[in-house]
Amino acid sequence: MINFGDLMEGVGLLMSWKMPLAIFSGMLLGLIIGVIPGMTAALGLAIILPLTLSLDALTALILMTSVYTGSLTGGGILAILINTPGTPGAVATTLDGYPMTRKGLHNEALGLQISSSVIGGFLSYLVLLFAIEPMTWLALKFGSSEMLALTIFVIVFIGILQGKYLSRAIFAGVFGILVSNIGTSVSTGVARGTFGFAELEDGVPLIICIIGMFAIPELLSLVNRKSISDEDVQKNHNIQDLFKGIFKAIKKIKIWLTGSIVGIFVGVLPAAGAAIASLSSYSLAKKFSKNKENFGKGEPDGVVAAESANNASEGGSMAILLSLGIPGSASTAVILGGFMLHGLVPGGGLFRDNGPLVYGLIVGNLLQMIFLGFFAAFIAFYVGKIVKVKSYLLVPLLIILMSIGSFAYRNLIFDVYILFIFGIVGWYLKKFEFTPLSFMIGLFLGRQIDEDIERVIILFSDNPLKVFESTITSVITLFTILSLCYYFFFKIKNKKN
Amino acid sequence: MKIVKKIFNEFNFFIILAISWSFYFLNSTLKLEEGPESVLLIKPLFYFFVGISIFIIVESVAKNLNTKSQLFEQKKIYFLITVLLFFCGLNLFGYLISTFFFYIILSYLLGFRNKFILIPPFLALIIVYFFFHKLLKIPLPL
Repeated sequence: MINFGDLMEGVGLLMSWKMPLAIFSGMLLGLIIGVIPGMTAALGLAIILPLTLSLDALTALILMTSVYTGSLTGGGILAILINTPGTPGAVATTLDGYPMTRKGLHNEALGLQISSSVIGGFLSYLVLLFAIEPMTWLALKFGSSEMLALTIFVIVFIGILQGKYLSRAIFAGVFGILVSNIGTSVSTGVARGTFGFAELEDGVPLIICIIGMFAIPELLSLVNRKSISDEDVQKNHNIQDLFKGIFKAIKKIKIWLTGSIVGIFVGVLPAAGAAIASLSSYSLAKKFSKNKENFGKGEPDGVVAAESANNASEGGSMAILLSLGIPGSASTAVILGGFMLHGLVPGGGLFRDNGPLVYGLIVGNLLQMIFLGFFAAFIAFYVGKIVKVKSYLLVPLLIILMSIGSFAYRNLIFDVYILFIFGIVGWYLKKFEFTPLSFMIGLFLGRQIDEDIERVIILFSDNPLKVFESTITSVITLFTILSLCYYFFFKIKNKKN
Repeated sequence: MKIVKKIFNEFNFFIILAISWSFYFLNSTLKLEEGPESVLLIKPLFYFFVGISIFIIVESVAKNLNTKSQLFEQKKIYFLITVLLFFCGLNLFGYLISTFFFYIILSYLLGFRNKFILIPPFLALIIVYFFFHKLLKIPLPL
């Protein structure tokens, strides 16, 4: 199950002074982003992404995943203190976390939340450590037709799960594929749709698109707010109560174990993400609890169930990213950009060619969870001051950082203009509910699809139905059809009701 | 008048802009030598894209769905213009001058109205110069 040679080599890669620094700074940034309402992990990741250019691949990826982990936990802190989920995954935490705060039990609730987050995240990466090799074995069976079928499935599935309108998600996915094909064709060498700009001959820089698509719309929505959080989150903190909560959560084995399992499985599904994971886990805990009536009124089990699943979903989404190269959320889409920036292509080949790096990343994430326990407790004490940062100070600074990051990618001012254009596109996609994640999936996989289509045409030109001779292609296509049937069945049913 | 408003709105404009771009994309490639061989994916996708776009427009008109992006609010427009001027200024004046003025203008527009307004831009300049240019060795046009 585990290649111990690669594992030891991966652990060796982590033995550098840069690693604790990357984990510390990433975690700190992630926690700060998580506790700021309206700021997402994707935004934080997008800002630091180009700045990781000067780092080696593993340090850069550890830094990025630390931001991701920190933001998931930070979101829960705010959910407990002011009933505002800092991240979508923290929605379920508000249900019992905030009632606990109103009862004066906020320190205990924070302890429960921190402890469950650490346990959930740790377990999910432990599962990933054992599962990555079999998953990669399966991923290596994916050829052109399989990848094509999978991409179509993912775009449809995201549309069904995330977007209100399936048609708009498909529009965004196709739009993304078209945009990704700007530039020189791999097979014919023809420069396509470049408007005559030599800078576009290598294609649209994906990293810049990600930064623009996720960061600029976030900043645009901050424009109308005087400060990041108008509510007072300065509460009295008591370290004893915090530790009481930490130990209380550890004792609730059944709850965090179920939450973690739910989180890992839901995290694997594209677009399902932390929010669905934590809500599913919360509902499950409520259903099987002896204190059902206490849920929603400040039940500690509710906080443990929600937060363990919230952070466990991270390992699930990383599993699908590492083995198949499919980002399950906006944040993992940016992390995928981080891989590409360092010349790594997630998918079956990544583990085969860079086994030590993948193991290093997983073990590094396990270490992060231990760090998290300490940092989250520390940050909980200072959260009030952080969310008081005024938007007139933050927004210009972030724009400057983004422009530097975009410029640094290829040392071209042209890329800064691309950042602006994709910022506007991102705003429209977000505001009109076109599911920006579908656009990103199309953008990431579009070039690959272009090459795959050519291979499929050459291989199956005599009989296109031969595509379905592959079991994997047939199964994925069947899932796509079933998902569509499910979607239309419930749409018709809802209309009748 | 109502039907005109329903059809000519930001939402449909965005979709039509996307279709126009994809038409240019397909057409400009087809005109090239070996162009037809380079659009094996783009061509069917373009037709599909047009089809689904028409469906979305019809759906939004028929169901009266949300067609306002809220992008054209005064503050957001000022924000976008300032950012665009900053990006253009980078090419003309370099990072130091552009960053300084951009920070002052944008923070003023967003509500920073006191005598300390020069301090954050000055700190930003220090970060840009010492951290990014000197420490990280990013060759910024200064």
